[in-house]
Amino acid sequence: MRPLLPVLLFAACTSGPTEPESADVFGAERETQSGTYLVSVAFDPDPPGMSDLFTARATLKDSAGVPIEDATVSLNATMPHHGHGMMTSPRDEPGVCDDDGTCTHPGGVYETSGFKFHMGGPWTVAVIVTGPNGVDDVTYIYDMQ
Amino acid sequence: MRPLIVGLVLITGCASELVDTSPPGEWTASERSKLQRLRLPEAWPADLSNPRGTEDALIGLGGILFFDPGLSSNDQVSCGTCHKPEHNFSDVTPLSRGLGETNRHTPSIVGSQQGPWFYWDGRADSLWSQALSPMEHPAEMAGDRVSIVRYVATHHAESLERAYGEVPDVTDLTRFPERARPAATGDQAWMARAWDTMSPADQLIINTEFAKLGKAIAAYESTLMPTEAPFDRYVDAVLSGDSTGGGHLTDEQVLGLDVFLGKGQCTLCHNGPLFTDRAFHNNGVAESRPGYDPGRRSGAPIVLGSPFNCRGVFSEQEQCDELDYLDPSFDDFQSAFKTPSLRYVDQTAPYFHNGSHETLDDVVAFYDTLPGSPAVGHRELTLKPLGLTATERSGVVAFLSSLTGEPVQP
Repeated sequence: MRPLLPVLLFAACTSGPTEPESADVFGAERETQSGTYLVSVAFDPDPPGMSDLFTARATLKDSAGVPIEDATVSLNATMPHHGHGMMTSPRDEPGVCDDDGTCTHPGGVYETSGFKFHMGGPWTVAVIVTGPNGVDDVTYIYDMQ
Repeated sequence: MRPLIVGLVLITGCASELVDTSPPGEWTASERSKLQRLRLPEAWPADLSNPRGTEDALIGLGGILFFDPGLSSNDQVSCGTCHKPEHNFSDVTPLSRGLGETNRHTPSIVGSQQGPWFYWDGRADSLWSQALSPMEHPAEMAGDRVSIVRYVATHHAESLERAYGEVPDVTDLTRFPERARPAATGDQAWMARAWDTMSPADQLIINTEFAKLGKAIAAYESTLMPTEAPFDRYVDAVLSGDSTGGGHLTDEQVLGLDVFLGKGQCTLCHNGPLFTDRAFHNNGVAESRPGYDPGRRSGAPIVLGSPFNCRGVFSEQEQCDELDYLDPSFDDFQSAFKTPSLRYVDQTAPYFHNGSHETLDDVVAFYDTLPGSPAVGHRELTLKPLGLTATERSGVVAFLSSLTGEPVQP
């Protein structure tokens, strides 16, 4: 028999310094570790299939709730207590780019393609933001079924 | 279902699965969801790598080729020699035997089209490209693509033409040597030299025809799909509200299913309708021969460099996401092997990539105690000794037999 694990139990298993999600809904908007930004995370498709490729999408806002469109956002996922990450090399999508190569992310939406969860269990999804107010990060826990 | 035993978390060091002590057969909503995901689907996704793979002409040709020993250099070995229909298209010997002996066990090919990677080490990214290598492997069929293409054009001309239309003439031995293939080494290096004498245009003709044969064989293999098993009927009954599961599983099998989903943590890897996550793991099973088998560590670069991969000129697939996102440097690829399907698993002994475990009792005992350690790399960290009782062990074995449906007909 296998009930879902409470989020607090997951927290003991992760190495990230940020607090666990306070809501049951994965990816709900949260402050980054130092309170610099607001971040939410979603998957496409949702839920992802076991060992299927999918896209992770982070939405970035400043602390006032205004979307930030010109930051650098890195998304990654690991299973810390299994000692491994993903078997893939995900790619941060550039967003909308001008002819001169300047790229923006309308609505503050940043996509990383090539995610794959190849095992059931808790995955730690880390979002690292390098933006106008400096570097900050936030982590989420996703229970892959 | 009873609440979680929180203290267990501290004991197991954050095991991702916790034990619930409620009686087997009473399933939580989460478990029912999992049961649904393990059930056979109404329909399988199409094989996007082989767009014509459902055409009768290709299936017919592929079936002929699959069982034709004339494709081998000694006229005695076919795909069916190792992928025996009477053993669910696997073999009873620990290691595959063709003209020689390979270093791995013959996996079943039932349901094999459903996945991005093929072979124990995933060194092919389509079923059709997988079908090509054994024809030339010195320990399997030891053939060569030039003589194979010529042989099929001669001996199966009608089926070949029905499948692919006009067939190029490869009978001119001044252009197409009697035997030739690229990358042959050792005592077969002469075949590589013969291949190098061919013009690039003629090499392309041979490779194109060779790929077509692989696609025909894959079309045939794609018809070999698992049929509904007692487990599937049990799930249907449970999900429709019949707490007895319609009597489709015995009490012992229900106990085994309970362990499979819970204490055994088996679904961490054996998930989905084929009971495989289609991924690669190092379970730490001991090597059966001197040295070590690098598994996915060697398979990943091979598929990236294969001319028959999804990005190759013989591919008909536009999107190659699996190949494009593959990270060959993934640390845990060392001695990792693809999770096999458990459908018909009681028909496919012996077990593991090296066929080192003779019975399902041996396999369950292995995961229960986790003896030894890998020669290189490290065992998947989520694996911990399970501490199963004798009843639980036999229950899991009994449950596994409920995954066998009607025999898959060749």
